Amino acid sequence: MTEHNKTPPGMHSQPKDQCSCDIDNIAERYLDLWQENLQRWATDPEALKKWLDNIKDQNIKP
Amino acid sequence: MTDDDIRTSIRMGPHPLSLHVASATNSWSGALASFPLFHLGGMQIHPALKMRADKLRADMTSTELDQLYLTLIKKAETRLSDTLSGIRAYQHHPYRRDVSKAPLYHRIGTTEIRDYGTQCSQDAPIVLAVPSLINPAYILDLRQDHSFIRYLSEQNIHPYLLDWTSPDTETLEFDIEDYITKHLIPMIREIHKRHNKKIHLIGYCMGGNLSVAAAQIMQSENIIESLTLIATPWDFHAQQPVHLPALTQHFIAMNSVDEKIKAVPMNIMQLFFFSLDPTLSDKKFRNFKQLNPESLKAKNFVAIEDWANDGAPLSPKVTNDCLINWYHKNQPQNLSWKIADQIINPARLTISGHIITPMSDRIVPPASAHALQKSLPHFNHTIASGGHVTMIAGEKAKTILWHKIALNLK
Repeated sequence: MTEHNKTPPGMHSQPKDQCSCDIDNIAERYLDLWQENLQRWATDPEALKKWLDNIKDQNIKP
Repeated sequence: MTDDDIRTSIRMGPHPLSLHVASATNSWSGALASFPLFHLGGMQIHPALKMRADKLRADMTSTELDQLYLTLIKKAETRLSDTLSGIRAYQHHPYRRDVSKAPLYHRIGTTEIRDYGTQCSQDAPIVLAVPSLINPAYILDLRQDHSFIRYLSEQNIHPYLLDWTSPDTETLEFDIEDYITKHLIPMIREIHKRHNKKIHLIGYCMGGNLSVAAAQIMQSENIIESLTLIATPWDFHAQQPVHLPALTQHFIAMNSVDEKIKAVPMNIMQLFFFSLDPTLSDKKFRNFKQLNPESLKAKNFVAIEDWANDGAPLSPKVTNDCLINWYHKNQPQNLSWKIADQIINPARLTISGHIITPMSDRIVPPASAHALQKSLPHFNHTIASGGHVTMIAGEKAKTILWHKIALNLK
C-alpha cells in the first residue's frame, strides 16, 4: 500500500463548510464526510480510544 | 495473443485484489445505509469533523430527502465504479519497469550488491544503500530516468545498492540477526576492502534498523564514515494504530498453530499495510482513473504501485522479528533488541549522520522515527514532506529529498 495520489479530484474543490442547499452539492459533501470520517477513526488511535472508553464508562454495548 | 499471454500481460493487483474491491464496495454501500442514521444525528463523527457534519445536517433541512437519497445512490455508484475503473486502468497500464542492470559486484548467499558508480571518479564518496527486507530493493532505482541511486551517481557519489532478493532454503531459516551478521556486515567489509575508503551507509525503512545495528557492531573497525537513515521506525508503539496489537496477537496465534510455515507470503504484509488506512485504496484508484494514462504522473503511479505489490515471501523468523519483537514487544525502543550479543542502542553511535523523518507517513509514523532522532542529536535532521514511499520515489523526490541526501554525503 502506498500513499501517492491520495486525494481524488473534486474532493476538496470547495470549502468544506460552504453553505449550499443544492442537492448535488449536499450529496457530494455527505459522501466526502463519510469517507473522511472512516479515515479519521482508522488513523487516530487516541480519538478512537476516547470513544471506546466513553462507551465503556456508559456501559453501552458497542 | 493467447489467453495465457493476455493473463500474464495484465496485472493481478493491487494485492489482495478481493480485499480492495470488497472494501470499496462496502464503503460506498455503507455510506448509503448509514445516511438515515447520519440524518438523525446518530452516527459517531470524529471530533475534528463535528462542525462540518452539523453544518451539513443543517443544510439538509431545506432539501427533499427522497430526492437527496436518490442522488446519493447515483453518486455512490459512480464513485464505486470510478474506483473499479481505476483498478482496471492500473491492471492494463502498458508501463513495465525497464532499467539497465547495474553490474553485479558481489554476492553472499541470496544477497547481492550492484555497482551503480562505474562512471564515478576515484575520489567519489562510497555509498552502500540498504533497503527494507519487505518489498524489493528497486524502490531506490525505480525507473531509468527517475532513480535515487542513479541520481547519486550523477552527483559523483559512488553508490552500491544491496538487494536481499528472494530467500532460498538457507535464508528461509534466517532471522534479522542472520541477515545483519552473515550478509550485511560482510558486504560492508567487502566494499571497504575494494576501495580502502570508509563507507557511507544509507538505510531506508527497516533497512535503517539493520544499518544502525551494523554500524554499532562495526564501530570499533572504523570503516563506516556516516549513516543516513530514511523513514526508519524505532518506537513501534508511537502513534500505533489501535488494531495493531490484535493483528500481532493473531500472528502469534497463527505461529504457534502452524509451525510448518516455510515462508510468509507478501499478502500477509499487504493486509497489514491496507489496514493502516482502509480508505486509501479507494481514493488512490479513483484519482488514478482521472489521470491521462500517458502522463508521467500516471507512469510513476504504476511504477510505485507495481513495487508496492511486489516482494518475495519472508522467512518466518524475519516476520516474527518484525511483528513480535518490534511491533509487539517494541524491543528497539526498549533497548532490548540484541544483535551479535549487543543491545542495539543508537545513542552509542559516534559516527556522523543524517536522519530523515517523515512529515506524514502511515507506515512509519513520524513519532516512531523521531524517537530514533532523539537518540542521535548529533545527526543532521531533515523533515521530509511526502509519504513513506513518495518521499524517496515520488515525482518530487529529487527536490524534496535526493539533493539533501547528496549534499550531506559530499
